[in-house]
Amino acid sequence: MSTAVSEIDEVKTTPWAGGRSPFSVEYGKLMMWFFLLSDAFTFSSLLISYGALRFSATSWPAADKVFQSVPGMYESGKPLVFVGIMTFILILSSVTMVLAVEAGHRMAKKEVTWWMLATVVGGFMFLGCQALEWSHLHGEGFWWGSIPVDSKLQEFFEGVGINHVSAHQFANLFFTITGFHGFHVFTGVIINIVITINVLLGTYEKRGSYLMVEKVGLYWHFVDLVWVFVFTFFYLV
Amino acid sequence: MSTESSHIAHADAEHGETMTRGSIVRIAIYLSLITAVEFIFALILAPQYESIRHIVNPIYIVLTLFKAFLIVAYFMHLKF
Repeated sequence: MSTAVSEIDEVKTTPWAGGRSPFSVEYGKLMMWFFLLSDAFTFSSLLISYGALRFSATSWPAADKVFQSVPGMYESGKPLVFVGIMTFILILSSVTMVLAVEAGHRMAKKEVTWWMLATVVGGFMFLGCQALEWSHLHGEGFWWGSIPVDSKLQEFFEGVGINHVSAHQFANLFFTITGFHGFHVFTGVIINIVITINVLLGTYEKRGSYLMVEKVGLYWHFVDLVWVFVFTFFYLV
Repeated sequence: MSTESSHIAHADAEHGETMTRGSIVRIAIYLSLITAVEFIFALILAPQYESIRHIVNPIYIVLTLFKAFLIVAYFMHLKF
């Protein structure tokens, strides 16, 4: 394994010129962690708002009633199957990303390229699934500021009375939080495409380090991490 | 400066060395299994057994925190 550092990497470490680097971490990598931390606060505030509204409501749409279709295959009767597929896709794409990072440590350009491409495909698949789920829910009447008609809404409040306020809150929070997460996935896919092109051009090989792949990997794993919480709080609890 | 950047690059490379392909696959299997357990609780156990309905939410949260730990510790290399 090469530990040679090119001139360009040395230039990138100049922000530490005033002293030792914290945790012996490269500047860009530490900045990525700072960004992820700030993003974690944003997602936390959204999920805490969701929790506060959800648990102060007398009734709430049941997830296994709302999410029981597999778009294009089953209109109903398959609770949480589609979100299970989405979760599995995102976990797999996180695995392919960490395999790309591992290949990068071995300076295996070809392997990095294939694993990065697999990660991009996983990202597109997840976004496609999310688009299908959104369009299905929109077809049922849910949207920002919009809820289904009472006869339809009754199905989602099984055993309890319809609560229009909580149905509105559910719709607004669902589209806001999954939309914000989906935007992160979309951004991640774009960044992954750019990095894959750089890998193909041999940019990181010339630098003697695939550290950039590791940095975007951190972002991609963070997106997976957020989904783990969104999945639990929206679909399971 | 050059020595320091070399040290950083070396330290970063060392971080990655501890994650082998085998350990990556093992963590992926753990994540998938935990998700499967969550689905078993949500779709089979909770609807069938009234007695466990009040404890499923804490179970989901514990399982989620464990999944988050696996992602952050291993995939994001914080454990190393």
